[in-house]
Amino acid sequence: MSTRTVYDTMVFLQWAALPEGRHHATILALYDGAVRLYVSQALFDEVRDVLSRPDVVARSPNITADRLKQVLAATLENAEWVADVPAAFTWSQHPDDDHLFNLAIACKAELLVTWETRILKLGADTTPDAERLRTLAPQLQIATPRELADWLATR
Amino acid sequence: MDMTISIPDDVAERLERRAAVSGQTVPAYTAKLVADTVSKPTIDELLAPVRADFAKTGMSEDETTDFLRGQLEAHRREKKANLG
Repeated sequence: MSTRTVYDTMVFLQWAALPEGRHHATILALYDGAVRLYVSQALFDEVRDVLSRPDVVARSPNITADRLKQVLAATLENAEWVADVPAAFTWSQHPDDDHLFNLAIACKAELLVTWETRILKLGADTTPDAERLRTLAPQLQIATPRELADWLATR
Repeated sequence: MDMTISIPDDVAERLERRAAVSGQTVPAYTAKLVADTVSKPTIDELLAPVRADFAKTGMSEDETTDFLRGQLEAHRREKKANLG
């Protein structure tokens, strides 16, 4: 049974820039069906916008609008599109991350995969925001891509 | 090449239904599905030239991650400023 999963923006950005096999258990998990990935317009927009920035394209001329479109389409073929993502949660300290949490809440994700320390810490925090997130998404676990890889290796 | 594969009963039933709807035999419909799937580039294949570009920059993986994180933060700052 696939684990309902959301990847944070940095996971997608690292797909593009880090060598194959380094942090890409997150891609393998998509193709072998270990996770059922959920994505949204806000997430795809953010990935596309960041990878289209002049400083990024200056380092990789092969990042083109067409290639990004193909990458996102290939991702979507192995993911579930969530069209309606209500703004159920806001993190007062880091509202830029809200779209990820709201996607996780909307799709009833069991796993949020991220490298971000602030997001990883939120899972164990006792702040009002953390408590509210646990109420809205009681099943949600927050893990690093490395923890996902370790989990995949034990399956 | 002829191949024999095992699939769960419920998948087989859906496959038979879809093949019937498309007016094809199950083997022909399945062969087309497989051909369509493997002819599409994977995420890794699509990103290989981009990864090669980043490798040429000489940045370490940590530096690359910090660079991307900086770009994400800059994007979010600019988006907020544009909205405000």
